[in-house]
Amino acid sequence: MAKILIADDAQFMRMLIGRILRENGHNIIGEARNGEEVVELYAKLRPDLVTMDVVMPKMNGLEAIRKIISFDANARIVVVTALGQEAIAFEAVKAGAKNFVVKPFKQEEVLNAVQKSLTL
Amino acid sequence: MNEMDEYKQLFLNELNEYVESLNTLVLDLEKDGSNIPLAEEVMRIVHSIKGMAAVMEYQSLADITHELESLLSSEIESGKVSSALIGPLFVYIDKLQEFAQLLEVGDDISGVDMGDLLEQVANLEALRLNLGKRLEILVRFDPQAQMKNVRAYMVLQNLEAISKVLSSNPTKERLEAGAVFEELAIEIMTKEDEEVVRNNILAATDVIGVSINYFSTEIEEDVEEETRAITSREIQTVRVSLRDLDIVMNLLGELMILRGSLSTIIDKTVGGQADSLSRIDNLIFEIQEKILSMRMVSLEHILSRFPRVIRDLAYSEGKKIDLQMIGKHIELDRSVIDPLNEILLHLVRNAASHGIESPEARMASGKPEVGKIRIIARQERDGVQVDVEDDGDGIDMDAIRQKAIELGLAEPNQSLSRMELTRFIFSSGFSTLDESDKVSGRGYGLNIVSRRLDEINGSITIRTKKGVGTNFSIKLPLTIAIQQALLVEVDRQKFALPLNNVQTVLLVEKEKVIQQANRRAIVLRGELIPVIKLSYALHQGDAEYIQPNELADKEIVVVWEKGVHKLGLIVENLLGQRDIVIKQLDAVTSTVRGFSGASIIDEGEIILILDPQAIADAYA
Repeated sequence: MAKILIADDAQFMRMLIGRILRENGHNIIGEARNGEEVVELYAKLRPDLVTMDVVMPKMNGLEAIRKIISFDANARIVVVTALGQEAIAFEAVKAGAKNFVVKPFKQEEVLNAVQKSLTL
Repeated sequence: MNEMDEYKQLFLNELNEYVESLNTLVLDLEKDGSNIPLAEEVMRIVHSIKGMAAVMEYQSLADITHELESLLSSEIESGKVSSALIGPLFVYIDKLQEFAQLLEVGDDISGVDMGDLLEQVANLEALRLNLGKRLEILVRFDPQAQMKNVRAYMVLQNLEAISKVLSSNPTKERLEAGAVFEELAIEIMTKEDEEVVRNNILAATDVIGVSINYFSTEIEEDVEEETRAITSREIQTVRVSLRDLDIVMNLLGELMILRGSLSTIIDKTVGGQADSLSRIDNLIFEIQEKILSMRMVSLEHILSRFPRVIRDLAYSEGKKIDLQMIGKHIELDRSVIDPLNEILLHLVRNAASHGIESPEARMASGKPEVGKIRIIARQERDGVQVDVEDDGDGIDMDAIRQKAIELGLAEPNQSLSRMELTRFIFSSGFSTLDESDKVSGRGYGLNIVSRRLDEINGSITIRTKKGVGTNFSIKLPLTIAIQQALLVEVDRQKFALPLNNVQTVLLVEKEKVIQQANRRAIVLRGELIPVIKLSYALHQGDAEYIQPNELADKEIVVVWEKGVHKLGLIVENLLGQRDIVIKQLDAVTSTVRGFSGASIIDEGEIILILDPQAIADAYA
């Protein structure tokens, strides 16, 4: 049971990820539609974990990761990236993301990445 | 030579021997760091160097050696020499070599900068003191996993939070560059428990296996024995400079000349041959043979450095290369060994950096990930053949053709055989690579190869197939001190012609010598070969203007060839072929064109050895 913040500009993805996590006992404490919102919400809500889309308006995911890590070095961030975006995935990991899932993903993949990141 | 110089020479000799042994030992140690007897042998040598350096008052060398020795000693205690120490050890060996080179020419050794090495060693020491135990980890990923490289990268990054990562294969950089791998091998130092390390790794998704090993301290006995054998063998050899051997050889030559005049005196006074004279002949012959055999050096002498060269190259270029060497025991004359070393080095480096592809490219084209380079030496009847072959990408003949046209060596529409194309590779300034890289591909590599080969009377052939590999095959004479020669007579004087470039000897009728422009030529199997009269050439006369009445009805023509050049030499008499010992001409006589050396044949008669290349050049 963890407090999770979801960041994605697509409502469909927020719903999908949210449902998978809720069905498995997690508590979705917030949803952000862009990089700025997620940084702001993170500071306010102090979630146990963030799922972060990379391509988002205003501030992209990579920058948001860096911002969040800069005030919480132990932040647990799971990046949601797309097939073929390997370079972005590398950048996200370098920026401090603890794990990542590749779209299109299976339900277990999201769960797995979240659970494992929570052990760190 | 004063006392100090003498010590310096001894120090140098030993240092050079140590460098050679260290190179081999450390390479083996890299493959198996838990081989403690091997590590102890390395430490023994390092210890000896420390002692010598201190006595000779080379303080910087003594200091760094001391540091390395204590590091080695604590590593040996821990049961394994970590791969993190291997790099600095190799750097150390290189420093030793630099040191020896500077000492060879003078006493100023300030040019060897130990700074970077000191730093590396200091880092290692800090590491040992602070970071607990060393673990060797293998991580396997789900073969179906997406972005496996990013996951592996993540594992390394997560580990960095709880340990010091000493090394990994692939490295982070290589992972980012898209390295293809099956397992991620990591070496770390950590104070954390194994369980913590395991969980840290398992936090990455798609990890399906983690195995963690402590370093063990098993001792392999056979290795110990091998080391002992090496040590006892070393004691039985002494170093003799090549110059000393040359001096002995020259003295022997003088002995032969004296023997000649002695024989004349005996002839006049006693009449007939004396028994003791023929015994002297036998002795001289035996001594000559012995000296020549002392000049023989096994190929191992140069090949022992190659694994190191390939290791460093493969490492810096991110390639996987397996180097095999066959026929290391084969011996060659010392004078051939050094040029051969340079030749092989060029070829092997070329093979490694231009032939062998990256592991990714190899796997993409269905080849094994690890590229193979083989150096194969074999003894042939009249010399030694050394092949350097790789299973790399082969030479692109179309690129060669393009380049040849660009350089103006060939016409755009000219049809060129593979043979002709491969010959271009050896021209100077010829490289199909645009940028010059670290080691080879500067465009003059193969040009050097062909020049060095000329010096030692060697030849080379290339076979290559795009995508399959390349084979360079070198043929070398056993020694260049002894050559087979054809003895000819011109103006009642004897000369020797090196036989390896004699294509054939012909008896040519006067009418068959045709006039072409104002030169003479003969036709041999449809090929026009220029002919000159050797006696004219030697007298610096106008050899090409041969008047018909100056030709005998039948002339003896020795057809000489080298590469594409052919030349017919008219001689007066053939005296047969024989092995001659070549003596270099001194500074004065060597400026006379047309001769490459001198030799002493029976009864101490001195004959000059012709250099047809120089003669051909003069009449080209």
